[in-house]
Amino acid sequence: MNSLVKFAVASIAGLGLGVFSAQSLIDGYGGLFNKSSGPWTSWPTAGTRSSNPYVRAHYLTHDRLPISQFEINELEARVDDSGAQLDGNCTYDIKGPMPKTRWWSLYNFSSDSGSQTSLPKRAGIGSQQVFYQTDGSFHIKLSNEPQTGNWLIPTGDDELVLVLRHYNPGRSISNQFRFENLPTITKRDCR
Amino acid sequence: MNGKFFWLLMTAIFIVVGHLSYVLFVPGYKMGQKFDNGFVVNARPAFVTLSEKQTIELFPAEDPAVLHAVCPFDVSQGPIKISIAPFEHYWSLSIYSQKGDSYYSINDRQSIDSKLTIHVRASARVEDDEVKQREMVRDKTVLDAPTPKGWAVLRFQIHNGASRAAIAQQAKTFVCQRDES
Repeated sequence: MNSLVKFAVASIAGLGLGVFSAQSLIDGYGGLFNKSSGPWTSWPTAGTRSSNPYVRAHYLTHDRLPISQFEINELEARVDDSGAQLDGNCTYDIKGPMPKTRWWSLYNFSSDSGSQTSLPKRAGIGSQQVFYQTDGSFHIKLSNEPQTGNWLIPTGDDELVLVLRHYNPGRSISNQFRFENLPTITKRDCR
Repeated sequence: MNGKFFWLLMTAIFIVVGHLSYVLFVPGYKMGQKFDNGFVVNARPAFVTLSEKQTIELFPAEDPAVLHAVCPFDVSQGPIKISIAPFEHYWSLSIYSQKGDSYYSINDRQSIDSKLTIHVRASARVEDDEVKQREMVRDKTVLDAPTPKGWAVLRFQIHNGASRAAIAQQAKTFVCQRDES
């Protein structure tokens, strides 16, 4: 009986720790399979032959299909420039130039909204909708209150994920991606 | 063997089993379930243009600026053929294995021919797919699928609801069907 209890404890604790450690690596903790700079994280081997199960799991468990960076260069942000978790109750200024790419889009989704009972919403803005500044840069306001200019609505109250996608990126981006000319994400105020 | 060491070893084994099972099997299973619930893979494969609601159910974290058309297939029932006619806007095609691995990808700018045809067939040498997964035979591309079941996914850029309807209409020129040749 005593051995049975020990077996149950070992199996539950072991399996739990195994799943927890797997999910941590899949989410990018430790940076073994992803690259980060400031708030932005990239999974450069996604959708390629050199990909691995963790990268594939990152996309599939987050309800996205992995795709080659030569086709789409994708970056995620779950935090702002100060490292604080993105919060749907706050207003953020997203500013910057864009790398040379055929077209781009910036969208957000709530990472805890995958249940079938409450369909998640997505919201995005792209290179063809954005009003640019005279120097070619842009300024997007992520806020759940109406904003003038480029306005992106957050899709949830917490655990927001911003995704920046460069479609058909230039060779210089896809061959040797560098975290240059990426937008900054600055918290302005919160409700 | 020391009793405490034995149970620590057992726990460590369970950690490894839990970790590997979660990484290797759960994502592919989850994606397979989604597609099995969303589509009926039958002897007549075809592209299905996803509505906004279907897209949210299948890929809730995908880009809202993209219209998806999906062709689930099973090459164990025979090879399939994907035909792409000239299209004036951005498109990209990715082909995924049942596990969610992308093994082929092309877009409108890479497609030199005005009409592109891709043949996907069951591989007689699945283990050999790293060596020769893709063959160019005359003017057509032939792919050996690493798993019998898979999905061809088309992506189109859309700007708004009207754009979605127009692109969805034009996307019908893309054909996914059983390869009778």
